[in-house]
Amino acid sequence: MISDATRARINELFERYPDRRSAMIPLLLLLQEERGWLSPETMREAGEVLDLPPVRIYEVATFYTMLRTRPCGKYLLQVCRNLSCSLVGGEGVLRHIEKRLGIHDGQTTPDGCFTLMTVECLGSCGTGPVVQVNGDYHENLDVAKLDKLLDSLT
Amino acid sequence: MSPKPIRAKNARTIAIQLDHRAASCPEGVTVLRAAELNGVFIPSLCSHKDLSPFGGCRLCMVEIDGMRGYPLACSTVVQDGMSVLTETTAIREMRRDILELMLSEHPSSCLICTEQAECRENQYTIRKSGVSTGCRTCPKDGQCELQSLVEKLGVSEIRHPVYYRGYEAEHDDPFFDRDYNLCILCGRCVRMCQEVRGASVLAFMNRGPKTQIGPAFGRSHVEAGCEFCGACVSVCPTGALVDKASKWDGKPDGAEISTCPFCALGCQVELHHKNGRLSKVHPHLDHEINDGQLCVRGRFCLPETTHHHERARKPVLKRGRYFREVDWPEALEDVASRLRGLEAGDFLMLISPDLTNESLYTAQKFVRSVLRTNSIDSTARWALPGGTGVWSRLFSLPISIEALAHADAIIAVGLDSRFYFSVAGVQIRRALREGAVLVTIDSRDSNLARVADHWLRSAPGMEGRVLRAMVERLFSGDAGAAPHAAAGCGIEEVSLAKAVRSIASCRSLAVVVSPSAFAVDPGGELAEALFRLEGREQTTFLPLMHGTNTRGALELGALGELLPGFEKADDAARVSLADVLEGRARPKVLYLVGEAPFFERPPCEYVIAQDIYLPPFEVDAFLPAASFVEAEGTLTNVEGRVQRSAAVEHLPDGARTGRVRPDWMIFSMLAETLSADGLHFANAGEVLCEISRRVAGFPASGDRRPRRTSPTVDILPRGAGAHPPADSARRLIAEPGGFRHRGIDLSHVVEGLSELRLEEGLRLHPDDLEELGVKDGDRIVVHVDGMNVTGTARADADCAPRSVTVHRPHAYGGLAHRQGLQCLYRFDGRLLNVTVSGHRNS
Amino acid sequence: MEERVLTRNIGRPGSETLKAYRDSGGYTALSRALKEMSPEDVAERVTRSGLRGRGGAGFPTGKKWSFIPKGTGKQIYLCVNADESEPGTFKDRLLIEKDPHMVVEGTALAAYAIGCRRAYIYIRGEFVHGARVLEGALREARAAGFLGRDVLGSGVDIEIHVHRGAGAYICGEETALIESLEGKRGHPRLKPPFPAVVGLYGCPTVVNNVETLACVPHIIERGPEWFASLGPPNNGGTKLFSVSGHVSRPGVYEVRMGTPLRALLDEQCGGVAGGRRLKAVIPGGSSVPVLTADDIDVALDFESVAAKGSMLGSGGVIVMDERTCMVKAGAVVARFYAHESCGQCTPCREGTPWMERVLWRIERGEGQSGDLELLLSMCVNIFGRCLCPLGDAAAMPVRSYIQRFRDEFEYHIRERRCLAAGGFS
Repeated sequence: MISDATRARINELFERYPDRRSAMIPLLLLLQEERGWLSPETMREAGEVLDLPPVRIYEVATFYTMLRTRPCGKYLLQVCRNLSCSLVGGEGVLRHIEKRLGIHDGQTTPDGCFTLMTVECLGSCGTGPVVQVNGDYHENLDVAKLDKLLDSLT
Repeated sequence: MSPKPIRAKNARTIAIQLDHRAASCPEGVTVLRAAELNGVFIPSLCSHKDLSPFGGCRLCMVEIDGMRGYPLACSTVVQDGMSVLTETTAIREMRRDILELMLSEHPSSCLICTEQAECRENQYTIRKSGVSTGCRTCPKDGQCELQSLVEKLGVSEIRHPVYYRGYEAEHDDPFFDRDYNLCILCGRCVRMCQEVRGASVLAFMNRGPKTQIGPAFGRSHVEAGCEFCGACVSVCPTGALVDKASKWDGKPDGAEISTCPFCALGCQVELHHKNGRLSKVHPHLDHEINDGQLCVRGRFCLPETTHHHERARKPVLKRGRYFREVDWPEALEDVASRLRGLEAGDFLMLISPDLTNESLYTAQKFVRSVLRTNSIDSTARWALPGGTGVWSRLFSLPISIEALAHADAIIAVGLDSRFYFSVAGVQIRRALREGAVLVTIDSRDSNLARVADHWLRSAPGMEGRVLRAMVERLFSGDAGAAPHAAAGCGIEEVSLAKAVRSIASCRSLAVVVSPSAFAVDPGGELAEALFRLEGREQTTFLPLMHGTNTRGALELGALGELLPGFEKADDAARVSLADVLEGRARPKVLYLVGEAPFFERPPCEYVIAQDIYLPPFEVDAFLPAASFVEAEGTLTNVEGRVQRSAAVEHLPDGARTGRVRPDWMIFSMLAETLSADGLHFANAGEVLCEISRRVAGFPASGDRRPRRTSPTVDILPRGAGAHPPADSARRLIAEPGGFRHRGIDLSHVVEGLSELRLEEGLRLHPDDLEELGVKDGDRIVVHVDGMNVTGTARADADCAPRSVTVHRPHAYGGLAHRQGLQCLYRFDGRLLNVTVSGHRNS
Repeated sequence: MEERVLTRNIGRPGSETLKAYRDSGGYTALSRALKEMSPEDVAERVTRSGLRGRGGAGFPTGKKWSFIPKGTGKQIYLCVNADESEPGTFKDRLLIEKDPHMVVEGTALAAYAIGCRRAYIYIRGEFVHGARVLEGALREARAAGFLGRDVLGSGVDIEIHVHRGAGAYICGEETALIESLEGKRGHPRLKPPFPAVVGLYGCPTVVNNVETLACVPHIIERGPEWFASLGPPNNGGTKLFSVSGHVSRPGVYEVRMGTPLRALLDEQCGGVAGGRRLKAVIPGGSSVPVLTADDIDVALDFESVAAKGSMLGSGGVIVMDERTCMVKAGAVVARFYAHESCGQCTPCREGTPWMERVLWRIERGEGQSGDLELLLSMCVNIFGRCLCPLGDAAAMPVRSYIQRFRDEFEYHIRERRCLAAGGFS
């Protein structure tokens, strides 16, 4: 069920566009923020809100990497593996997370705390290596900073 | 938003150069189309004439003077004087490269196999493998667009590492299988589903190299609400989507153009045959009716209907307690002996409106000239509410299917085009894409209501009154409108006014009325409204019925009161279907020709059934009729076109093939046995010639031009109009079922249809079920006319609130499980108030 | 060389606030334009300034605006392309996060010039912070009357909304951006028709990069001649370069157009980190052909970089030192484009993963003798044959890596190991 508060935010979104369908991505981001991921049920609800058949939601949800059609841990660690970050230690950051949390790309820790994802360039090339934790960027990382970061999250 | 395909009507012709040769084409078409019109082949795997350009396959790249690079023929519009090179060394090379890339992910082991030359002769059986690894193990072998291009362009090696996607093939849905390992992601199916059919089942999922096609959430097509029109299968260039039934038939030997035998639209189909047997059905690109589209029945149900193992193919006589297969002379003699010396009132022939013109005509001639009675009747009557007079006049209106696509405004009454008349739905969508206004009048939610500009949701049974009110207002304008013309119909005055305003200024108007609407219009208000509209310019009509040749039955005298050509028949001592059903008459001999509107044997001394299946009760004689693919003939569609029904199976008599005969021939043989003259015809063509001499305006051979009748029949006074429902009661809506052919319910012989369960159960809106405290699948009791009818509740969100919908069959063959519902099947258009109580299954 | 026009406020505390922006003279261009200039005047000035699109293609901005058909009766839309996703590029993010009002003012001016009443800033979904900052700036600007109905009493309505993406590089392509903004999959459209004629909601639409629009207030304020004079002919203004990789001081640098690459690297960025030798530089984001150390005297303007066989692109400069394995660099870049292919057209969908797979195979020491020819032929197969420029973006780097570092690739295949010392950590 979409709460009244969310409903109000959705209506606010609708006012921005001459066509409701344009609110698709913002709406899905909003619902994902609330629920952690986009379940089939959530996508159906989004379809009702947008007055579109569910398949129109699903095709969009599976296209964009930030939209998750599977559940995800409390903290989503997105490690950049693109060129600039790789040149300055990105692979080491990834290896360290894998070793410390015992999970690989796409996996979630058994306690549901962390999900690890490798991602492409986050636009943080000058301050790499970068790990995005949920919405926030953590830049210029090395092993020591990474440990501190992970400690603060558990 | 992608650009629309360009459809130029009355376009100017322009001159272009194709490969240095002068050519011409209409202005506004794409280079691809221009080439096609000039007989120049440009390869393409993603374009389609009905779909927006996609630009995905990249095979149609050409060189155009003055344009950089390699523009796409599928999306570039021709300009006057344009010079196009469709095949240069560079282009050929590019096309090969692209095909090679496609093949690197497409199972194509046969292509590089050293034994490929010998394979086709030697390996017939390995084709039926679970997984396609190459062309020889693919159901599309020999019919695949990719394969034919690869051969044509001469790709013989794949330099890239070959990669198998390893998707599991999907076999769970009815009618077609999906193997996305063979998919080249051309997107034709997705666009077809979305743009043409408006069905929103298929979509692209994921992206890039992981792109896939399918319904949302990995669901099956059934779960995703697919209407199984098969349009996606028809446009699939590879073996990714294939018909289940004919999957391993291989390349057909040939195809004949014929007419779909399952409803009055008369869609043109291609009957593909293999080894003398109907293999599968493809829609014909006939722009006047179906333009490459079909519904589930036409696309998938023909082969099973004619090939089902219960098909009755031999004459049978009842001898004492036993039934015995006999040969024709014995059967004819037995039947003839019962027909000799009958008095008036002793006989009734019921004949199905699904028969050919030839058979209908011969039948009535047999009854009238040999048996000397007018006792011939048909369930066609149930599709002609208001009586034959009303319908003879309706058929004099301009009736057009194609006009829907070009109309500026459309009024659709009671039409849901997913599973019935879906071609009309496709034409309506075409008009909507061109900016037409759509008004639907329907107590139920429908696929069209969802895309309509105005959905006038009337109370059940009030559709006719709403249409009439609309028409009145259309002529009189807002000022002169009767204030409450639509009072009690459940429509707000203001929404009615808005809907009328939206169409008032439109030039062309098309009105389509479904049999469901006619079935609940006891007062004949629908027909009245249509007649009133006759005075409007540029207005076309489409009054629909399920019976394939209902119009032919009416025109050719298959209803007792009318002789061929709408001449009035003598009323004396005529027995009708209603007489039998209501117990007013009990003819000694009942001759059922493709009809079985009874669950139990009617109380007659001698019952003859002539059909392609045995009826659901014991008969004294069974005469096996030829099915729609076994005999030539013609069918009259709702527009009056006399269209060919082709025979593709010419089976010699035999133990397995039986001894089927065309219906008209059986009458002819019977007449001969009775030593009567005038029914000897050498072939169906001779019958049609006689019809054309007898019925003014009827063609002497297949003629696809629409005809308007000139009615001479009086319209009988109509019954009382519908009353708005009482507050507390629910309305019982007996909707005509559409899954019928002759005496059989298609859902009995076509496995896929029975899986869909579309016409089963007592259908109620989910809110109503909740109110009753029952769930989908629970048993509920309907109290009607002092009787209690128990049936299974089905939740159907399309149903009108506070109503119970049942599908009323025309023929009960195969519907034994619905026997208990019989007293809900109403034919007089009256809407009954019923109460419903539910009890949960424990 | 260094010329702080766009970055003049950056580094000051609170630079993202309206107050800081106004203190530095912000919004004077907008009020002047609305009071003293017609929309045509604004457009004309931008045309004269020689401003070229900063998103990568370098198309003259004034010309782009001029394609908007007049008098169609349709709404006109402006989309600000803040989907900055080209690897090695992070300049727009800096502008958005540190000086959002400059972006807003530029957008408002462009909207005024083309007759747009409603503009959308399409910002990549990952820039959560940036989107928040922009929303804040829009609120402030609205409250101060710089946006909304009847802006500054001019009778002109200009509304700007932030629209977040959700992770798709392809949405930086203008027609894919429009599709995405319409709530669909980011599939690029077939062109023609171009967005200027049939764009967002079927209406005439201009799509401009963030940095491009950030230049506009300065052009209006200080004149097109001044702007043009900042760079060589046809290359007006300053340019933001995002420098990353093996340099001592990575970051965003604003220099005049035409500044030599060597000067940017050595003087601004402190040279190659650790005093190592330079091996390769990507000058304009990962999609452009790579330059070798021999090429670094090239002047950073559109034509000069093109003359060296590369492109100025988005100005994303990625520096690689002597230890860098070019095979791996190629594989990483190829992986990106395969990951970001939308999947609509065959060459890109099928070709990009193959390039990636073959490159990794070489990198792992499993390369085969014909692999380089295979890769090069695949580049031919993709380049210029795709629906949108993504295919080209994938083919260009791969081809250039092989062409310019062929020895290294051959060594990898022959010896099954790397000639370089690592470079990736």
